Amino acid sequence: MNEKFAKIFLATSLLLSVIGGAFTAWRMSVLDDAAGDAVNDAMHALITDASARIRSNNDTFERMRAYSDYRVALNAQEATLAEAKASTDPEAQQLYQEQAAADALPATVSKAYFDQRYALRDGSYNLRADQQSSYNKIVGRRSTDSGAFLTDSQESRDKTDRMVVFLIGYALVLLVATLSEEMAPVPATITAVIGIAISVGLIILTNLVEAGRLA
Amino acid sequence: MIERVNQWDRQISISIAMLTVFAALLGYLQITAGNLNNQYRAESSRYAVDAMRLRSTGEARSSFEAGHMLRLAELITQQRALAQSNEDTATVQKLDAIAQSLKSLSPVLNDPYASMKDGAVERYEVDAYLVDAVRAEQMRAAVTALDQAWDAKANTYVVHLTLIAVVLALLGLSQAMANVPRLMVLVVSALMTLLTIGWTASTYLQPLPVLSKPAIDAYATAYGAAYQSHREEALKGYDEALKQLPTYADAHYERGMTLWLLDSNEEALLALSSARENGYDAASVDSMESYLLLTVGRVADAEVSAQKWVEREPENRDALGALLAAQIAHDQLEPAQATLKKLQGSATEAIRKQTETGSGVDDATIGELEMAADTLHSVVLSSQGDESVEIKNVKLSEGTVAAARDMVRALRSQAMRAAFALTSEPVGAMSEIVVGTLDESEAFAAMDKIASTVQSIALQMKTDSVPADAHILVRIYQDGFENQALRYVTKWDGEPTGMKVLSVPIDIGAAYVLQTGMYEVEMYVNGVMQGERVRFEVTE
Repeated sequence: MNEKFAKIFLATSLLLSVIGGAFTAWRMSVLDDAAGDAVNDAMHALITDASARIRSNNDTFERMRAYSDYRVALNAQEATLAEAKASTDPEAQQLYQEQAAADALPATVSKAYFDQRYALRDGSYNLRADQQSSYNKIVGRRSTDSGAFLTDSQESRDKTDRMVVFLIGYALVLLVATLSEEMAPVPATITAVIGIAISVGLIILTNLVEAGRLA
Repeated sequence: MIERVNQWDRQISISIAMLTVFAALLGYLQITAGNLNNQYRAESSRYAVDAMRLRSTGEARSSFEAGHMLRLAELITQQRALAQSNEDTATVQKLDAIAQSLKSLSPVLNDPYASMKDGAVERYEVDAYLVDAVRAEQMRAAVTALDQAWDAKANTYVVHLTLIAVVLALLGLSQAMANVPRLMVLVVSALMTLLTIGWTASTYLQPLPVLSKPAIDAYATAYGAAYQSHREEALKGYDEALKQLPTYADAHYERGMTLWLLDSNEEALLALSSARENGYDAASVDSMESYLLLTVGRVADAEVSAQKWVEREPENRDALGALLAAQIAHDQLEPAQATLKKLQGSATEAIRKQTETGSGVDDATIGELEMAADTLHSVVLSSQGDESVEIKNVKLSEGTVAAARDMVRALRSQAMRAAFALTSEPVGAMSEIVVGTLDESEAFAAMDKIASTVQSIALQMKTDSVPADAHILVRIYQDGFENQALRYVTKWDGEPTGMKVLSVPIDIGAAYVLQTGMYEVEMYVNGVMQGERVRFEVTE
């Protein structure tokens, strides 16, 4: 094995470490861009979710206000009707009936301002269901799962964290190859071959990390 | 010679390779810092949106519960009491049924809130959203600090990478050089490398802000307690937060505010000082500190603190007002006159701009002038040994007292002329104002004690050239604060000069009675304050 042969191996080792470094840096930049996009999507989802919650909350309490007025009126009417029923005096009964009709008036107005689907038999109001329905209407088909986007972004970042270690590997190959120029042809060739193997290995690892096969 | 040059080239090549490894290491540090920076930035935005959502939905809910349901329940309770007093059993039963049905619609109408005598709304707000919102706000602040710290590190590593790139370029160039120029380039490269290595080490070792969730939990709970005016409990909470994280600036600040409300002003000052040392260096600290220093009689320090506030916010009229009060308390008349001029000039300019827009003078501008006058008035009262004011131990020369009184009058007059948009000349004067009542024959009787059930009070004064139709304003203060419901405005219809009596009606509403306590009355002619405030007491 002559000196010329050793120098070709060393040159190949240097070249591969530089090309491998550039390749890994390129893939890191692509992943970094994807991480940034995912954060942006997460922020959109977060704002969509928050604004939908605020709007649905405000809308629901407006309806709840109408429902509470409705309940008060309805209860007043029921109580007056009970008194009418208990009374034996026809004139009093007539007056109670008139009063009950007057009591019920606010209920007929309030009724138009809430969705009767959420008024429960026990007199309470299904606030949660109304809020959820209102929220769903506001959100529509937009995504509100900011957590999923943030997880994607974090995964991309974890990958770049791993890949940056490979850059140190390429730099070390470069350093060792430079130092090997002083060595005798045989050890220099061996070092160069190891360097080539490491660079090729790092390129393969870059692809594996990017594909998510190397956790 | 050739051998030596080859040796140099070899050393340079090895240096380039070693610096490449260092650059790769720097790249690792930069990317790690950048990733953490991005991660914390995303978290910070998430907490900010969360806090906004929690507050917004919580406030809407509280507004419904407190503004609608509690009011409705209160109305029903009152109607029930009325029906019961009329022995109207049917209505009582009807209202009971309604009240019962409302319970299923609102948590505030159930225990623990329903059985609370006071503070049910505050307790509900704390339970429903306040603690969570404060926790999210504090998490946002803590995460933002981390975001900024990592951002600074990442940016500094980029500078290091740039320096190393320059060194690599210089080393590359040096291979094409010889003799002295090569030596110079190599020396510069070596120095830059050493500098970069040192700087990188220092950046790497730089400490990061601490995020302590237990401290934030304790803070949020304490904040909730303070919101319910449970001050001792709040203080314990802030102490716990500080035990977890002694550098927690917000906890120091809120602890200071709580101590102030507990009348421990010296301790409050120490807490504010700790807040400042730990990074809470804001105008609100200057403001509180200058006021608290006045209350403990450290007038020189109060002036320094107020000056700091003015330097931070030169156009802030509250800051100028605080400085004016501190300068007067420190008996520094000349600088105080300069501050007054600046304050009044700034207010005049603001009032002019607001008037030009046609929307009228902003209440905030009037409030700033009034606040400055109030604080100055308290300084004067303190110098006269009045124990009712919070500012203590002020000692003033007679000249300063007289000048300070004139300043109070000037500030109040400016505020009232702006409030009533008065442009007429400030002519006419009133003096020797005395409070009293009118008897059945409309004769004035001076009194320093007035019954709470009076329908009017009478003011006797000596007038001098008060023109007909002059704008007359009477302001009545209770425990140092004006009761605006009692404000009385009229046109002057008496003789311009002589002793006059003005009747000021109190009957501002059915069944209204004055609360007992110490009152003061103030008079204005064409928006200009006349004489001094006159005191009187309202008794049962």
